[in-house]
Amino acid sequence: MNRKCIALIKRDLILSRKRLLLEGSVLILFMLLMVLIRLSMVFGNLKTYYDDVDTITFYLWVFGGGFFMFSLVGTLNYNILISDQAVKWDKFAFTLPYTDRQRVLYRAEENIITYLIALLMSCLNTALACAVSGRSFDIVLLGGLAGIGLLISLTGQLYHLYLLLTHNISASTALFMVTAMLFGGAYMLYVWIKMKSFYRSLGIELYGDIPADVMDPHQVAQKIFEIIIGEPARAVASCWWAVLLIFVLVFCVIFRLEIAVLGRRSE
Amino acid sequence: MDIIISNAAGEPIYEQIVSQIKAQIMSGELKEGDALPSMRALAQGLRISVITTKRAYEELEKDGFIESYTGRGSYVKKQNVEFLKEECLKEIEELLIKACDKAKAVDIDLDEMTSILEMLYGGKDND
Amino acid sequence: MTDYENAIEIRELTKKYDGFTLDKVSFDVPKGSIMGFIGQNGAGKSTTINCLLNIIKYDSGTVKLLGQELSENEAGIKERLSAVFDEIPFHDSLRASDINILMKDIYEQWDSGTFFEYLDRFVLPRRKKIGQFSKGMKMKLQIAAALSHNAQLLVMDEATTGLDPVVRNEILDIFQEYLQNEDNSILMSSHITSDLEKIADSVTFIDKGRILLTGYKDDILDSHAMIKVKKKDYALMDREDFVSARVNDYGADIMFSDRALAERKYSGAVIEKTTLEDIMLFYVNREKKEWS
Repeated sequence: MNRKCIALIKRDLILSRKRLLLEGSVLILFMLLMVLIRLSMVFGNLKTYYDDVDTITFYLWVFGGGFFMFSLVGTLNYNILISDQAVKWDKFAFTLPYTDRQRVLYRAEENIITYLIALLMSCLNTALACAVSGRSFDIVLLGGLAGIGLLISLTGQLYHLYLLLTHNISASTALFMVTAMLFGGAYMLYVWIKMKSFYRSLGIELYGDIPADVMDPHQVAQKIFEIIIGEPARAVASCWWAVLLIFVLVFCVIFRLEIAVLGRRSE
Repeated sequence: MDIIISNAAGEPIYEQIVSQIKAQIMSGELKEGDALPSMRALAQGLRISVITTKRAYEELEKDGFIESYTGRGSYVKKQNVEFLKEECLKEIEELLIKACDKAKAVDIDLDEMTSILEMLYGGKDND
Repeated sequence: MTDYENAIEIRELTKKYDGFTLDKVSFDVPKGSIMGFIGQNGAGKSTTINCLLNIIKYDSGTVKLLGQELSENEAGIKERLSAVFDEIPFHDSLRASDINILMKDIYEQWDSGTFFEYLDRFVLPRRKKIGQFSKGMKMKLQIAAALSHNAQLLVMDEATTGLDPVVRNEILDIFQEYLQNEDNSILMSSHITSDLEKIADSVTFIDKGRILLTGYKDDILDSHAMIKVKKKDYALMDREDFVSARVNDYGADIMFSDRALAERKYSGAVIEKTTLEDIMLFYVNREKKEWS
């Protein structure tokens, strides 16, 4: 992480001062709200005997909050991107002593930083939810949060690549919204299905009809590896690391693509 | 050193600089060994291009009025009194040719010219 | 650091767009001088500057900055150059002190002391948000930043457009001060020719993507002549001799690119001192030949 890249990241942070403050406040409000709902469920008006409503609100708290946090913090620099074009910083930045690789690298580093911050915030939120609900903070929750974050980050990266290629802000934004909602919705659905099948195995029936059991992410990764490299895949893809690996590979490809697109610029 | 340049005058700017510096050297305002401002400083002060001041200094050097040393600047050269006088004589001749042409054009004869000259020249002595 | 003669060397720069082509643009900016890059809006000044700074890629040609081609050492060359555009590239919420913090890490030779000295000299507040600055203040801030990291080349793209005469004069003075160091050079594009009339060492005229004239300003001004003639005399003139003629009810103004020719052939006419603006006006209409 060299000094020059840090300078650009610093700029983004300085520009996001207001936004970070706002988000911090919203986060706190969200957590307060959820605690209040929880208290209301246990002691007050929302008191209920159905375990599943309790479960739903818990998972909503954890994953809804996580989704929320990653969308806000994890996509920090994309909002700046748009205002950069308006202020013509992007044009000026080409006159600064950076190589194309550094220009893309700073954004990648920034993404990693904001991802980790958002993950931390999600964990705090989850810890609170677990403490209040009397559940344990297990690795699956963490994995789920990390997964949401990666998906949102991926969406953001693709959106940025699209913006670089087309310079069409409104189209990119629309695309981003749609994909984010699709991903978010898909992920929520997935979580819901997993929960339902889990509870079914315990003999508890949750709301709604669901299709037959879906695969865990690491099983999906296994399938992908199998398709690509055949039999030895089973050994490689037997854990969550495989999912992470795929994400990392995709990010690397996007990184290279961004450098290439940047190098081709002819406006 | 005072230099006043006029944009409106027909004379190119570098020539104005040359003649003004020459005049100051001949009148003694600028003495032998005096340092002239650097081309860039002069350009900045007069708010003109450094190419113009460079040209002026080159002409002054060519005519023997100054000496330029890279790294050190330009200095007024030791002036030969005879040389100065010759420069002046050249200018006086040119002016007189013009006066004579004008005189001939309106039929003023040599005697009248001489008395005018005496009056003007003598007048200066009496001041 | 290589030793170089020209701060900028452009050869046969070509860039094609739909409907506009930068066609084999070539000119040099000698070290230690200020070059005025003159042309109408849309003539190709900004495109040329964008190409030479590598903001956009050009189709063919070579560009050398400070003696090196950008492809050899882009980051290194950009350490030693500053670009100033007509709009300040910083967000309204930033402060001058923030800019100092950023630039410190961006440029190796950034000197905070120099930057703050310029701020004081231009009377620019350090802790006020840039959004509250006037246009002139914003430009001065950009220039303060441009001059605080030992840049040897300053590229200005329409930087003085839209500023009042007082501020423009202040800025031109600063440029002349900058040029006191012989290693410094400036390329300044503008359509306000009066700014360049006095201080430019060389000028380059561009029109519709092509270079019309390039060379020392004094030479160009001295070699051109504008004469004023009566209409009947104009009718007798050889159209091949001149660049173009501005005709009205009371006579004609004619621009010649060869002053000696004009003096020789049309010695009776009134010969006017040429200005850069006149040259631009008359050359832009060179194809029409006669205009008003």
